Amino acid sequence: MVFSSLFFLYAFFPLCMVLYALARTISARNIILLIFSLIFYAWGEPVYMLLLIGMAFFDWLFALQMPKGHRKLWLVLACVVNLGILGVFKYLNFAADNIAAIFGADSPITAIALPIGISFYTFQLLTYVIDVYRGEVLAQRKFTTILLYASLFHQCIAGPIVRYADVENELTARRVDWADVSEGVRRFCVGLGKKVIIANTCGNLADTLIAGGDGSITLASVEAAPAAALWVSMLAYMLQIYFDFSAYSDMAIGMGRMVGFHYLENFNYPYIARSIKEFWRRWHMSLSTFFRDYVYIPLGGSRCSTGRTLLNMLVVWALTGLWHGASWNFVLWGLWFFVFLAAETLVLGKALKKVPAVGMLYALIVVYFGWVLFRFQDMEVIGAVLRGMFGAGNGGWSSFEAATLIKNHAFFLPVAMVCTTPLFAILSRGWAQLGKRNRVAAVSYSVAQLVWPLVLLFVSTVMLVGNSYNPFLYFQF
Amino acid sequence: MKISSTLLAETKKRPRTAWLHPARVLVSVALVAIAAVIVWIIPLRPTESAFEQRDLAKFPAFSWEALASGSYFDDISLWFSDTFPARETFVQMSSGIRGCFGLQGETIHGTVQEGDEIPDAPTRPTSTTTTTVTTTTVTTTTTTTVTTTTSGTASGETTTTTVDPAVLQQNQSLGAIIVKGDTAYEYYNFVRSTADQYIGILNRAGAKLEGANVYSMIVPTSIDVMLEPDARPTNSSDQSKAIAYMVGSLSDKVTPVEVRDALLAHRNEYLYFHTDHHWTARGAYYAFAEFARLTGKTPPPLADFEELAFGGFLGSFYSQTQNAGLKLGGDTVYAYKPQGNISMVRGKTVASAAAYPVITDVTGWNPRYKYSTFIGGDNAYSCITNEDITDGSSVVLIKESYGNALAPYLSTIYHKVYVLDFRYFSEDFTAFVKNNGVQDVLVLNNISATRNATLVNKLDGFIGK
Repeated sequence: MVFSSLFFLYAFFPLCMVLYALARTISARNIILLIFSLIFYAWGEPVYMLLLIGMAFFDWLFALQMPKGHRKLWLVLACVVNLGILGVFKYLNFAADNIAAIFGADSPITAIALPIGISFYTFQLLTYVIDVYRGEVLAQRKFTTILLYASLFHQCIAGPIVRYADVENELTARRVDWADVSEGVRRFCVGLGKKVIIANTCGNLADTLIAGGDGSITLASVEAAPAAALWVSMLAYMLQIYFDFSAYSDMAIGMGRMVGFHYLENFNYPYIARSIKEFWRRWHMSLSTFFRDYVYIPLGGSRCSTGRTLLNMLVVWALTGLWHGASWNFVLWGLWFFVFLAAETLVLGKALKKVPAVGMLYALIVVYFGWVLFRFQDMEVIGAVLRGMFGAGNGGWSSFEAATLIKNHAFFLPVAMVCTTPLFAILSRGWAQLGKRNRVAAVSYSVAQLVWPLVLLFVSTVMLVGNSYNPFLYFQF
Repeated sequence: MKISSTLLAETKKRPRTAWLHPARVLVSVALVAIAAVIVWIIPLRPTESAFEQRDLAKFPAFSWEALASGSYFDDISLWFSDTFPARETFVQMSSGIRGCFGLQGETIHGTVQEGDEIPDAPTRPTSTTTTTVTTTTVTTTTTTTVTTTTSGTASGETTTTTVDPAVLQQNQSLGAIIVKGDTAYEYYNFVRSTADQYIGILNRAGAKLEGANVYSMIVPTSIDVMLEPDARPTNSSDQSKAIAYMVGSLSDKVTPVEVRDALLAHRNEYLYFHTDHHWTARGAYYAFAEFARLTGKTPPPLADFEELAFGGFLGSFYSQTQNAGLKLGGDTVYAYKPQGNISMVRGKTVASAAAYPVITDVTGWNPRYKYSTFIGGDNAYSCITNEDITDGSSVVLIKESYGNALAPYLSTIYHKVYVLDFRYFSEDFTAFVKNNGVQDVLVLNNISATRNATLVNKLDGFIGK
């Protein structure tokens, strides 16, 4: 199930919230959330729900043993189980394919389906056992609490990666007031609008511009695409992936607020970053924080020799790439960022700070071409896209169809680009400030704040009914 | 101290926006609750879509296999969204919203498929079956009376069977569509293998039907006839060249009926619908006139027919695109009813055929189905008899829906007009022609059908080995 489905919006979530509101104790509320979370997960992956429960059980058990002694042993066991299962489901095919390719043989392993959200909930469970090992949190005695933490439908399948320490208290004691629920509603509706209105439209445009006759993107279709189609397709993809993923985080954060959870922010206008280092402080912050706290700093971070720091960064960015998918293009994507991060650490950093506009342009260009590496798994396709962008493909510079499609989105694309900046948030804050001194401004601000999320909900509903194009990109991770 | 008091007073003062949070929560909860109740009122859920011409998803049947694979839950979600109350209104609103995304003077719907390279036309063997070709210019001045009927059957004939709109007009597989203002055009992509298969079928029919004259009419579509060459999308194949290639590949047993020039000569008239992939009855008339002349007959002027007009038609292009410009423009279906002692039977088989009007009054019908005014829509078998013509002449029209608009005209030059829809007619076609002593066989398709593998395969099976 996805948040931006009509069944979720008008059946699953309202029923969950009604039963949640009727429950009187935190235990009863947690049981309701747990039952709905398991149904949510089982909706797409009925069998793999057992895997999720099993992983949560082992982590609960291992963490519970730590205070009794042999803490490191239990930690190692937990890491082996978690990363082992993740490795089998996510990377075994990839490894087998590559080893087989080296020896010129067929892969001996049948394709293994990737359980939805396994990368997210595995990392969440790892934060729990590692933090218990470090003594930063206490081991949770109730298995159902750990299972709820791992499976909570708000963030189980597409993040943000919520650290156990951040929700430890709220799992067992939380309260909400009008402002919490109201902010949750607003945040959810904004996320829904970002996903349905902007991300889906961008996705459709990105694909249509370079797809072949059967609607699929292949080497032949990319080679035949004109340069204008490739450039705008990648721009639309760049917008899609931001709005898609950040929308999911918005909806998760919003639903959390409605029941008293305060998940940390996951995106902070990444496309206004003035360096790649800043981009990664604004993009998928929960993943960056995970790798910083659980890989980079334990390896020594930056408090060591320059060579060692670079090695630490290389490890982190290779892993970041691999986390996104078991394919060489993702590794390349991670290393692409490593190169620029290393350059910023060694040379560029100070220079970029002096000229922020240049820094912003530089970051956008690096991120834009990074998405080319990210989007296509086939290296030949990546090569064809890059050649075609600079007029060396078979499609020339433009075509009637590409020009028509771009004109059809002539208002949409600039608005979507503006929506990646904090402009509307700044204007909204200004309006609110004015409202403190002016009655008309105060009333109009409140009315707008009341109506705007509902308009987004309505328009999203209309477009969901009218538009069958509704994939969530981050499910593949 | 004074400052502290002021701050305290400001803190205690209720902010002007304090009502916002409870109001937002209450309004949102109320609206979602109402919607969540409405969506479960099953009678409000549509079960079919008239515009998309399909049954909407059904609630899935339970099975353990489906449950384990996840498809059971997926299908519930699909049913829930596909049958959402007021679905068609929402779909049109959604289209309207997307229309605000940019300059919509021209829009492209669907994925454009690149056509194969069209070979030069082969030199066709001299035909041995062509009869005298006349060059009479047809008078097309329309001084006919427009009869816009309000009820009953326009033809005055008795309808003896229940109308099933879903049968009358079957789904058509369309290629990419370009919309310019209030008019849509279907892209055409030449597919060499399918075109060769199509020609092979026609040549086989010519060889099998010794004793009958076999004619082939390949009708260009509106993108070729109505748009100036420089206004056509570059990725739509050249229909003139494609028709020339197919005509040139015909054997001497098949006579081509070339209608492109005749249609081009009248391109300032209403030859094709703006919201549908079919041609109008006027376009069909000019093609009919070419055919009549080729067979040595004289086509009656259009003025000899009774003109009927049925407004509010929104055809397949609109269904596919939901384009607001198309809806605003709409189409009127004009039908030209042949005069005289003419009757028709139609049905799924020859034996079960029952009387039905040649031209049906479709006033008040669903806007999607108004093309069904011609010969009762897509039936496997229809037979129009003109008792005023007593020479025993007969023709078989082999067609899919495109031929429907032309069929009524044939009854003005033949005693018997057999109309066989090659998609549904399941009886032995060769035996049918021989048993009925048919002289002429006309295979009529628009050029789009000749690149459609499904349709060409159907025709292949219909003609037989």
